[in-house]
Amino acid sequence: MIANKMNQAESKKSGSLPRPPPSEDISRDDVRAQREAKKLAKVARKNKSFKGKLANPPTSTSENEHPVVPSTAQKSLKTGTTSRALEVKPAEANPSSPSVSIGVSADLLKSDSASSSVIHSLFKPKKGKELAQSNVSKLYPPFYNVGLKVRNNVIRGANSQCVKLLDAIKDYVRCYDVPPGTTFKHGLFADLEGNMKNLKTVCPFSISMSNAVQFLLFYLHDMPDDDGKVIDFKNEILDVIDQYIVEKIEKAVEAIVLYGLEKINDGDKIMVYSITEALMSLLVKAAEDGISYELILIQTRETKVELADLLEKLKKPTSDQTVRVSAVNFSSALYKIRSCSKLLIGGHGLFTNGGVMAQSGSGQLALVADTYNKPVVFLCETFKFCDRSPLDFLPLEEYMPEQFQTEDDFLEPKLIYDVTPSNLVTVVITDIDMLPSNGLAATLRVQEGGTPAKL
Amino acid sequence: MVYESKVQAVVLAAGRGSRMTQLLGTTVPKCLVPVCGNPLVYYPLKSLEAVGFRGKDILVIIQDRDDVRRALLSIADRLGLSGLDILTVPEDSEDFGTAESIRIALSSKKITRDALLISCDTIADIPFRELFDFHEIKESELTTLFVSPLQIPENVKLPGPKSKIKQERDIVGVKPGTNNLVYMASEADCEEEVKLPVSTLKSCPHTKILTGLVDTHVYLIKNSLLNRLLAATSERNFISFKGEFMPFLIQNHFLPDFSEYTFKFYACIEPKYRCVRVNSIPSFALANKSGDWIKDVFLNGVIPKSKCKIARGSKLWGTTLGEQCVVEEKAKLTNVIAMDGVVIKAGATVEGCILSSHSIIGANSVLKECLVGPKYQIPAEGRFTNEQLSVMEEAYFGD
Repeated sequence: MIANKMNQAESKKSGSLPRPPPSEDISRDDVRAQREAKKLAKVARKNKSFKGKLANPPTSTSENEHPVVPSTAQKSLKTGTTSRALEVKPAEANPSSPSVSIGVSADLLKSDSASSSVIHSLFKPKKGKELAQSNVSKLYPPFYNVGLKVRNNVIRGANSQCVKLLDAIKDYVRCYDVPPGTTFKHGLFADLEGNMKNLKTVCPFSISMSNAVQFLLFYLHDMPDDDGKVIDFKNEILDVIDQYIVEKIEKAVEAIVLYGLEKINDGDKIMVYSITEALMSLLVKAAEDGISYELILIQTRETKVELADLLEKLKKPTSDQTVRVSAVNFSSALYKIRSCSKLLIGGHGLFTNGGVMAQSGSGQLALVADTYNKPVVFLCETFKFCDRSPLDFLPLEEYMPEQFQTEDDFLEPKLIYDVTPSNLVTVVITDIDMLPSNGLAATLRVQEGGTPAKL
Repeated sequence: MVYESKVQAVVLAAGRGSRMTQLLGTTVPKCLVPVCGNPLVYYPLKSLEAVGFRGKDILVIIQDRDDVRRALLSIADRLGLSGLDILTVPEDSEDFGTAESIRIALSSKKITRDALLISCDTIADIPFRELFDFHEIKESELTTLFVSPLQIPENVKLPGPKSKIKQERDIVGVKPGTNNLVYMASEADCEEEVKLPVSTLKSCPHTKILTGLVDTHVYLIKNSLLNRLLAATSERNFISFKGEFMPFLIQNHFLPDFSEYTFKFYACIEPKYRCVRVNSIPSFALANKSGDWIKDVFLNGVIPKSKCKIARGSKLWGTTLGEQCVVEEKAKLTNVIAMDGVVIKAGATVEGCILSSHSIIGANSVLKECLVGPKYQIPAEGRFTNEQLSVMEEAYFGD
């Protein structure tokens, strides 16, 4: 009768192996299990004494029910313990260490929470902060559109993100109606600022985007108080935005291409990573000018789109096909760099400490190239200059997209950007001139005559 | 500045419930069928209100009936939707369907912006934010929404006759990765085979066919596309938007003669959400039995207390009663769904049945797993099992 009940209890355990019918003697495994369980229970009790009340519930229940199970299964059945005890039995497939150890390890996790939670919180998927209902209606729909696209990586590349945002701002300015009670300038300034704040909750702003918005707000702030027609002001602002785009982005790219062409010679073998608009234009122009160089592309999962773009552009029949292109895996770069003459990387942002922000992996490539004494050339427009000095990617907001694979406990963070320290960078080609990376901050400050206002 | 909504919600509530005639007759239009105490059309309107649509952004297309209009206005009051736009369509022809409703709305210039088409029979936890974001990101012209079907809750038997339950499933073909919609058909339309046109496969060689999803009948469609539809379909007569028009559009847009239209259709697939479409008797029973789920989904939704008279000595178990029901003494109701105005006389035993509005169950009768049609009177001492009892020619019976 007892044996029957025991079998019943065990058959309740989902899918456990059929155990030998229990006799009055407890099997050796059982004894071992009991001993282990007692040991773990002791550890749990010790941890419990550190933790105090908080840890009590999980450990105490597992403690109580667990070691009781194997040996006193019969007793508990006889005495008719609460259904909870019976439930604990079916829950574990193997009545001993596993579940108590899980209880214990939960405690351990809590105890060295200091280290693990920092790492965990770093790589926790950043949920796009939910745009509150009230905020959605206050965010101009084209802004929201741009924000979504940037967040989901539909608009790729700092330049195009900035241009798309500025286009949306132009649209917004055109449709702006001055509310009663404020002047055009003040109203527009406040409203645009509010919109940008809301937009920041939708998607993290890239450096180029923040700089553009900052510039515009600064300009708005400086505009003389209106004693003119609204339409004139609007036109003025639209012109300013257009001028910004032309000067800082389009012409900058052309200038970089001109400087960069000096660095690409016949017979060069160039390794290329982090493809931005400037870099793409440079390579295409070099090909058009008939320089026969060899191109080595580093292919990673994230760069498929840009590489396809670049190849499309290079395929266009310009001069005679003088560019040989090969694509290698990221890990092959270590081998390939030996035969290359230089490493070209497209930059996403520049910092005051000379660090350069580019696609994740460029720091490693720069290190590799430096080891083999190959020049590392970054291409970066000046409007991507950022007034911070991060040592690595962690303080940056946009280093990681919000969706990445997490299979249960296995975190696989997909990093987008990283920072290359200035000592690994040979030269940064900007639209002003070719500069060493740590001289950049000073040069820019002198150029623009003062720091721009912070947003 | 608060910006105007770019999207106008259009609720298609002019349907007659052609697949539920035994339940409805002509007395109850499909949009007013009671589900857990609320008329069916309450649920899509509640979903819209919960996500932030205001009354003037919602257009409801109904039959030209006073009771529908009154019910709609009272629902609008309850939900705080003022300025609800109502369009009536004439209820004349037999083959009247969703496509016709939309066509009439377009020609009377009622749909002015991008439209969010919702059918009145969709009770679902609709992920609007995901749908709208998806639509924006993909720059799509028509976005459909597929979610998981609502499962029958455990230990619940669905009342009603044991008809051959034809699963209303949708067979959907998407391009993996981008979620372009390349094929759409309802299982009911495919008798034995599912046919994929070669033109579809040529343009989309890698197609993923999904059968475990249900189409919520929530479509986000751009205004430009709607107007082109109006023009393009003037020669062909489509009845149902989903059943006929969309498969036509999707399959034919790969053909060369459609190539001047560059349509972009996408399917937003959110299997974490659930939906039940109340367009057949089993799904109606399922919806009524899923009161817990409905309460979870429609937070702050009020399930109104119906004014019923239940006499002493009667036993009710697992029963849903509509408005103004009367249950007399010693009646025994087990697992019954009753609509409005049902009278159950003394001593009747009803098990696993669906009783339509204003039906009368005679004294001491025994009913098992039946479907009683509207205004039907079960004679006293009647014994029926597994039957569909309904009034045949409604026109003859006056009241």
